[in-house]
Amino acid sequence: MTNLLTQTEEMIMVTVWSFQNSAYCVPIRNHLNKISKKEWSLGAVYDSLERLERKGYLMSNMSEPSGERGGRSKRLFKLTAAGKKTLVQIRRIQETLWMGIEDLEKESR
Amino acid sequence: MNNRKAKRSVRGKKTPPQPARWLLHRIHRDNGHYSHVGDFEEIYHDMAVAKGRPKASAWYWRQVLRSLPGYLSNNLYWRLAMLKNYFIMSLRNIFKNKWFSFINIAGLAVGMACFLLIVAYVRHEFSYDRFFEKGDRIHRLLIGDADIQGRVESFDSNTPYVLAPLLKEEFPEIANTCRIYSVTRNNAVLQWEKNVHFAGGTYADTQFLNVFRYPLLAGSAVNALEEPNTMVITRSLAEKIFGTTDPFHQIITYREGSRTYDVKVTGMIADPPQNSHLQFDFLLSTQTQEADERWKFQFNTWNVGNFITYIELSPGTSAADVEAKFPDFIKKHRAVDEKDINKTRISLQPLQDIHLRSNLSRERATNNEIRYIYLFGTIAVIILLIAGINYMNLTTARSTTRAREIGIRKVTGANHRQLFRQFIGESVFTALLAAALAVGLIHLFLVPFRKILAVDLKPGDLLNPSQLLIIFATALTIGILAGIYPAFVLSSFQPVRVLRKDITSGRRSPWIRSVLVVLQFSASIVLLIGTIVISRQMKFIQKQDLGYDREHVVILPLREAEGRKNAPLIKKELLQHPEIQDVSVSSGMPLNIRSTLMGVKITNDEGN
Repeated sequence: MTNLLTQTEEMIMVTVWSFQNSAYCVPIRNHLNKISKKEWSLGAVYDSLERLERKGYLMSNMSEPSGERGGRSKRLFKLTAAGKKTLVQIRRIQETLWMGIEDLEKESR
Repeated sequence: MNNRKAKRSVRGKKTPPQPARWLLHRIHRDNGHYSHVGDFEEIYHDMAVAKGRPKASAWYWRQVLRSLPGYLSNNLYWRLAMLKNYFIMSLRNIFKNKWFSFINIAGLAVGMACFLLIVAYVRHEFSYDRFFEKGDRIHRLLIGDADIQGRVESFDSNTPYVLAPLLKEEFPEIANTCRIYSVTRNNAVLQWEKNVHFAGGTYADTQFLNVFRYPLLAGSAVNALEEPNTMVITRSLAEKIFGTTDPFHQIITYREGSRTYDVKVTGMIADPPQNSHLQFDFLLSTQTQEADERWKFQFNTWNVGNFITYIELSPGTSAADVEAKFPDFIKKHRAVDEKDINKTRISLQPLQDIHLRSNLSRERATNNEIRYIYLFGTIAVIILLIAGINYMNLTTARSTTRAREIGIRKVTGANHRQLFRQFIGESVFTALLAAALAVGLIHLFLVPFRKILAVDLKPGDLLNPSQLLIIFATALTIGILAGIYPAFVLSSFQPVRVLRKDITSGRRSPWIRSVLVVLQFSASIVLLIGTIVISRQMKFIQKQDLGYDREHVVILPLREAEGRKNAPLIKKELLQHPEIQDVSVSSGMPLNIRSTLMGVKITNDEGN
């Protein structure tokens, strides 16, 4: 039985994966804002990231301090092996769920 | 998105408002989320570029302020939790070394007790005559004779009766004046029906009760002393003479020296408080004397000064301005000698200066001197200092016993500042315990203290709110000041060396402690020597052989004219008593030097 993710968590994990090595809070949030056309609060992002890390799907490390951020280091997130596996599983489930969904768009017109 | 794209030129960097940024930093500093501050800066920059600075700053501030309550409540919770731990640790420490703690706390308590007693005394002395409603506007009139150079050698408070009304008339700045007879009649005998009592008091004019607003329990201040042969008495005198009868309008026979008057009681006031230079059991109206043929002469002349004049200035006027007009006033009213320039000078002395700063040749009450007050104050501070230094030394000496606790604390994450605060808190706690003990000690020593200083300090005086505040403030101050050094030493133990039992931290420079000990000893020795010298001096004064035997000698003052007339009869009666060895009568006491100069004519044998 796979552990399901909430939609938020899922979106975040996908974003982290797409950013490869430079996923930290700010670009993740910007990306999500752009795509979902909604203003994500910092709390939501931070919280989910922490939760995912606690669950073992993400791991974080602090980067070198960078001059542009007033000398603060960034907390970079990366998918763990478990995280990748879970993501793939979820994707499969969704593909199965959403099979033949081209008709929905036609119906909702 | 890679790092290259995220690079921006530092020059175009928009930084968030400083105060908000500082707050954010503070909030996140302790929970290790350093990245948050940086994240916020990036977002701010992006927002500032996109929507302009004001909107970005508004957002930034909003984020910061919204994180504040959570941070504060979290902080508070943990702080309280630590406080509980510190408190328990303090208690445990105190009980672990019972004797040491006892010596430490007791030492501090004794020092504080001395300090607080002296402070109470000093405050009492400063409080003289301050309870009068118009106290800061009342002045005593001083008069003096100037020498050729115009300087007055010494002022006197005995002024002529006529001065007051003249001053009131001519100076609009003077709201009111009043006079009392300068000699206190301590030998007065008051009799009502069968009750005979001794009492002391003086004559006061009609305005006295208006200037000095003693609250009247019976009668009215306006007219109580208007008529001749009227008297205002104090409540305790009323109780002594009249018991439960209402004294108002009763007739008392007043006998004093050669005067006898039948006076009517026209008023009653509460007893004058002890912290006032005016003390009396009764006030007779000056009209009583004025109506008496024998004493009328004092009332119309400049040449007899038997009254103390008090001046009440109008609000907002300055004594200096009024004094400046005095020379002209004197010139106007005093006839100028042909030979000498006008010699009389008058000046004003503030009422509230009388007790501590007045040293005229004839004062109504025994005044204190401000010098002694300063001296007492200094001694009090020295004693407290000694106690504080003592505490410092004792605590640092024992610091090694806490070394392991400190080591563990540091290892488990306490930082320097937290430890410092812990130990300061401990010494404040100790100081408060010492203060509690000190209050007990004060009450224990109150009675002898009162006797020595002849002050009336009741236990109630020492527990009123302002005094308690002083006690608390003293404990707090001494706790903090004396605790700084030990706290500093203790919080600087290095955990590694401590846990390895290598506690010889070269940090503690031995010379600080030596200096403190030396200081402490010198101050103590100085005080001890002073005490011994004074005590021996006092013993000397008391035990010195004066040429006569003072033991078993009793003095009986004969107060009235009748008594004096019958002196030989009294002597005969007394000699008949088996326990009385001998009796003699004299017009003055050998101890009391008061001489009047009367002309003595010496005739030689030829009658020249």
